[in-house]
Amino acid sequence: MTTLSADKRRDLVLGEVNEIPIIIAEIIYEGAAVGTVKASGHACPLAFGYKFIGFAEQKRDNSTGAAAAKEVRVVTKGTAKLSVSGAVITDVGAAVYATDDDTFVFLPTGGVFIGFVKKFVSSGIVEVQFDSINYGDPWAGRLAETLAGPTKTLAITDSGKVMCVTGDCVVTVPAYTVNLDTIVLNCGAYSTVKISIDPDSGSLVQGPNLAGTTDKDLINTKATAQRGDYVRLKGGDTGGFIAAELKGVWATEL
Amino acid sequence: MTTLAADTRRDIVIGDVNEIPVIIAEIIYEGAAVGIIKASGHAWPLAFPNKFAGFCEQKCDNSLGAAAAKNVRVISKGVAKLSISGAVITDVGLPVYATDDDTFVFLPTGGIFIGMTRRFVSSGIMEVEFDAIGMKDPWEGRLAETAGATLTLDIQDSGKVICATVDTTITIPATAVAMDTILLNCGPYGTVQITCDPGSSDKIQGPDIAGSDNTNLANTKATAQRGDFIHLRNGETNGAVILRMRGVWA
Repeated sequence: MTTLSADKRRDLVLGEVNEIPIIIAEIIYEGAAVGTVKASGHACPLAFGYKFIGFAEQKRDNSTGAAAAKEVRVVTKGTAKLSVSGAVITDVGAAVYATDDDTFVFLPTGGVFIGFVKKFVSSGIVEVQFDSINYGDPWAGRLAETLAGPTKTLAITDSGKVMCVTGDCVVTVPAYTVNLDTIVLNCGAYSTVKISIDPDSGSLVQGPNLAGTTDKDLINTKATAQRGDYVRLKGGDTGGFIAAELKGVWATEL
Repeated sequence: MTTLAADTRRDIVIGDVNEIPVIIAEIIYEGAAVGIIKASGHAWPLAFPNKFAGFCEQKCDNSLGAAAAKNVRVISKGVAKLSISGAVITDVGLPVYATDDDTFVFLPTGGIFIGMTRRFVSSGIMEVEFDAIGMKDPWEGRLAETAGATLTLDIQDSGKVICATVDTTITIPATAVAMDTILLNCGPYGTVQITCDPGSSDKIQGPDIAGSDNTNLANTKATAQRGDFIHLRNGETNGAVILRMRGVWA
């Protein structure tokens, strides 16, 4: 390392746009959510597994060009009015994902994080604040999986997952010796989805000021349940599972 | 899913303002920290446990109106000079919480996260950078609780961030109690020491910290800073393990 001993003029780049070379034989349309391919760093219409880099400012047609023959100009930071499936007025602050360059959802499963709801406009339409460089997916590093059925029994292979619940669901945890670390996430609109964490027989679920009761569930109260409520479950305590993190209103079954 | 096959004009919204419908019979004054009520999505003067939406740009008087009869206009992102109890020059970069629409503190307990300190102005006055949509509370998902001079952790301290505002000795329970707890120093620089006391035959181990049975791990007071923390997970046979830590601990 050599520290400065004289002034150095830094090139500070102004604005909130970016230009990225496009993959071979691709068209990126104006308004498209744009992703970068991990292996090449080149841009293409956003798809699962890519990193979101912004919205295309204008169409770039590289359909007959080699890789990086053209660059796409994207807006990297700002607020965009988007159609988000199921959006309601209580969703301000919720994380939004894209499943392609023009489909936006709240469900993390199979989606790429793009930003947070800033304003409710009308049913299914919200303004989304995005900052493709600085904002991070709240569930980055976890495999998102949707709980399609009304019941689910967790296993050690569910460690490192965020389980996305879209309908009333009873999630049964294994014996305390199964030292898993799993997040169960409420993905339903306000007051529509109830999550019940069902302890193993003879065990309880304990947490912050939650004593728990043997064989009684820990419940995300449906009346006040909100999209984004979650519990982070960990095994290992002889009494049963613990709630290492909680968001929303959770209470032990009476 | 339908990918684009033609240009789509996106409405890119300019500026860092927002408009939110106001609850029934309420006045929101200019400069107020504004909160959103979870159940309705409507705005009012910030109170625990609302979501922070920004600072009110000008007074919105809906005292005679129905819910959503008027919208309040807020600045959702920017920098505000605020009075923060106890702020000193070493507090740059710290999360700030509001306990109502005009009271700002460093203590997470009972507060709503609003932003991070950017610049020290004078004693008790700081510039706070806020982004009501994009910035997240570093302790989101944990129940904040303020500790006294001593505290013995138990399983019901799992999922908490325990906030120390005075010298505090935290006793770790037996290894069978697999709690997961964060201990947070909330005192100004060099004023508060957190001491973690393991059981008599246990130790505290972590990143290149071997630990010794019955030996404390402390956040050295002389260099302790507001925001120093240790994330402890009990359950290992030798004692608690450190999952994350910030600051000088020895």
